[in-house]
Amino acid sequence: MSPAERAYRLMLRLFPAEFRAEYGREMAQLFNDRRRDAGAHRVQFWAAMIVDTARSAPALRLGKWRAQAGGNFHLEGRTMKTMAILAILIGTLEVVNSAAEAWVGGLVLHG
Amino acid sequence: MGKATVKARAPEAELPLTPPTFQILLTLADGERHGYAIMKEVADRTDGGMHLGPGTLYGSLKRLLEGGLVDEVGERADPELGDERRRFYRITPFGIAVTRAEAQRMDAAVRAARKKKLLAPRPA
Repeated sequence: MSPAERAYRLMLRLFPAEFRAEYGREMAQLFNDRRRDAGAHRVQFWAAMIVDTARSAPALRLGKWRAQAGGNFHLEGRTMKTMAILAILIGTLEVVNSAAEAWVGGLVLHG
Repeated sequence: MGKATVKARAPEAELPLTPPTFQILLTLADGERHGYAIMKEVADRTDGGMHLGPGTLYGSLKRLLEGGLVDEVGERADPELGDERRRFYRITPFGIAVTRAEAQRMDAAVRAARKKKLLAPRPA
């Protein structure tokens, strides 16, 4: 697995776990396909991946919460925005935690 | 993950579709595709105006599968892309009906814009 794919798989942790389990492999496939097509335009490519994740991950987490709450899930726009930001922050903490664990694990293994 | 009871729903109840959703359904209207092929065809059709990222594409496919507009048709390799197995998707008859309804809705909007002289008349 390339370092780029490893970084993208960390970013995938912003998505709900069930969604990752179902589509994570295909999403990584598409990431690699688009990275191959991007060629030298790496900055634009990574910007597009970050924007795509920032747009789609909160919507999927909110959708999951709505499904769990049933038909009684009604939120005002500002509350939804706040919850979406919290979802992204939680996911970002998970990514940072995973990266830290991997780094510490590497230090322990290799000294 | 259960599919919605599509028989009880009218295609018009699904409208309006988001632009990525419409483009995905349009791509599948003439055959099965895997995710990368969907992304490529949408980018080509929109002259690079719409590049579907993995989150957008698979988030949309998830909703389309749950709504009964799209089916999965198993995994196989694409000879043009090597040995890696890829999941293919196809549109359902209900998905065709919804796509047609959305195209008709947009056609009505274009006709209204032409009537208001916001668009050039349709070529003869």
